[in-house]
Amino acid sequence: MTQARKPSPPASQSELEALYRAGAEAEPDNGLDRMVRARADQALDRAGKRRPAPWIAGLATAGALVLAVGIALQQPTPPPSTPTPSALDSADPAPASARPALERAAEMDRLQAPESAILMDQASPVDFAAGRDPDADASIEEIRGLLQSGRLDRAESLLRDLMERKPMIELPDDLAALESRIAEPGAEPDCGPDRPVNECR
Amino acid sequence: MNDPRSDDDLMLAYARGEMPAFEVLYERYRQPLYRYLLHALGDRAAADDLYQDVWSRIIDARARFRRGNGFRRYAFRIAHNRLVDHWRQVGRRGEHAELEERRLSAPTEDQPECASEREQQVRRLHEALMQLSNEQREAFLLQQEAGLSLADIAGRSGVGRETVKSRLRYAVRKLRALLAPGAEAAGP
Repeated sequence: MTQARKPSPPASQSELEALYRAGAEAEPDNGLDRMVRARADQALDRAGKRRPAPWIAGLATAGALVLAVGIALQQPTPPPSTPTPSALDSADPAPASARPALERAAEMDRLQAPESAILMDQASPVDFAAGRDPDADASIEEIRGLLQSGRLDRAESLLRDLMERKPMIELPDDLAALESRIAEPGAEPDCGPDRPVNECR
Repeated sequence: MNDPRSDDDLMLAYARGEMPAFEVLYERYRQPLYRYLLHALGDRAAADDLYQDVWSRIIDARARFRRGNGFRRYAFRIAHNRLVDHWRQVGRRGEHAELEERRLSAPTEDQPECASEREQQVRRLHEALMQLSNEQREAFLLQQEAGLSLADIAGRSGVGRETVKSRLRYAVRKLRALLAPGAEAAGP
């Protein structure tokens, strides 16, 4: 048999190392890789320690931020801060501009409650006890007008209607006499010096 | 798999429960560890067994891993320990029989006759590696696959730096001799 041609041997250690690296392409097969990875995965399950990749936490934070900005942008822009005069404001000893900013903001929220309810799926409760119901304010103004024009019966009827609609309402002092007249039919209103003239017949 | 974190950081992240960190680490070390075991054992089936066992030990010991251990040194130390255990077991069966097994399992018969000169040299190098003593072969492989320094290999093997240097020198000399023309039929 003919002797096969022999390749020349590596002359130096570096050549030997290069030859080793040239043939160092062996790798575990796919089945072995899968077994090791599954083992690593199960170890975390058994230990009850599993964390999502860091990028998932970042993504969640970014998503929450976008959601928060989106909600903030959809909030209605508050109207100019010129206070609208109302019966209650006039009854308030302090001017609107002198009240704390938070109180004014809360009042603005209450006035915008129906619109906010659409966005937030939750309506702000109306503070009847404080008499800040726009509907009630309008009725009170109308009653005052009727009293000033001497239409006591109509004012009484309107007040009765208002008290039925808003049983928890706290009426302003100038309507207290009319209120007691409704509560005690037939009683004469007190026409003392503290009472407005228009409450007396 | 382009994670900029160091091996140690990945191992610590995996120990904290981050599976993707293990994936990156595994990808970095699957080939070097496998080649180290395969070329040290010369037997694919035995290499597969030990490879799986080494990774199992790495996984189980993850909580004890500390920054500064150096994952590379850590992983190859485990692999080295498993090799030593294996050789001890084989030693009880008889070193000669093991060498014969390696010769028989060497893939010479799989090589096509028309293999290139370079391929022939690589095949002969793998056969020659199997004819080194375990200590010489391991010193050579730890340097090639793990990139360990003489001091690291010495620490791993429990011998002095000069001893490792000597083993490497003998290993290289013997490999070159075995790869020389006419040396193919030489015994161990």
